Amino acid sequence: MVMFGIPYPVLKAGVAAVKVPSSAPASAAERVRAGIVTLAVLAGLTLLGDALVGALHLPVPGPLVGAALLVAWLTQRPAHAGVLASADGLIAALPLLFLPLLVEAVGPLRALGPALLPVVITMTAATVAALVTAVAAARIAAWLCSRSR
Amino acid sequence: MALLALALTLGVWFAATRLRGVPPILSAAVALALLVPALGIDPASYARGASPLVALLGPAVVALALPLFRERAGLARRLVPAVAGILAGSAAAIVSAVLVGHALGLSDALVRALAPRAATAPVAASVAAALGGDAHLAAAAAVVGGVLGALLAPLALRFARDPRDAGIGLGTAAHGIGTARAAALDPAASAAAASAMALNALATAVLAPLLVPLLLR
Repeated sequence: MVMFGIPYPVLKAGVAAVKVPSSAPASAAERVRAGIVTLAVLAGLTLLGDALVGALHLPVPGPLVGAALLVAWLTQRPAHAGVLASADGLIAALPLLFLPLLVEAVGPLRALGPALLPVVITMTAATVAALVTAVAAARIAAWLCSRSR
Repeated sequence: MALLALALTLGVWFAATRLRGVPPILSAAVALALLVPALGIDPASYARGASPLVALLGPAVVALALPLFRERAGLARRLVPAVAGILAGSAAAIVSAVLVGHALGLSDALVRALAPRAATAPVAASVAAALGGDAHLAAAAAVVGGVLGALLAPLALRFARDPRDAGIGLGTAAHGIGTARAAALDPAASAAAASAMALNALATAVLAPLLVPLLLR
């Protein structure tokens, strides 16, 4: 049996190798191990999400599917949230991880030439419109919910 | 040469985090956009050198499941407002991009690339390509728009009163970059933003192919 292009025994051995310890780490060595386990779990779920998106032609990126799988997993095994706590460090680094993409965005934007200014105005208007509409709609819906109760 | 791009990116990032008042992603991006060509690094080798950081983006997005899980009770209580906010915000992003772009005289091809920009970059690129727009420009617009949205995060938190509503706005309007900003400001906003980013990716993939042909007719 081959799952996501990986032969099943290999997949099973891989899952067994990243067996998640059930309690939060205490010593420095345990914290390092928990960090490595966390990275392995997160990378594995990224790959699994990508594989599912590819196989099922889902209209969302693989990592978001991986995140949904992790939420589903944690609702079954809440204790694992403590082991994976070092993932918070990775979330704190998110802006840094986006930085190369922003630097690489300069090329396509510079290629626009005279259209750059209207494109930037359009992007700004759409961002503000989405933010204001989303917050306003959420607040109105919350108000309607509280009134109907 | 590969390590040069990585070291340069990290060095500029640390310098940028010491600069008060300006979000580091903005000052660092401006500095790198100037430094990379000035040091004679071509864009392709910069992209290769900085790719370890980009490779961690996927796992970091999966990691957003943790704040989502911790805040699940609070989010579940605000499920209806959250879904209403995300759908309205998603539609507003697409419609306003098409209407404003058209009013400013942008070509249909450019408008098609900008319409899905509120979705996270890979979704924006694939939706734009399906609409007949340039995928590279769509990804660039998504990233730059995300930074614009993240700049508005403190205002959104004040205007929304409930941090969960601010998170809904930031995740919808500014995907991962807005979510990253929300994560730095408020845990409840971070969890809401992560779920909004996921749902908005789906909403944009469904709504943009319906709305854009209708608006461009």
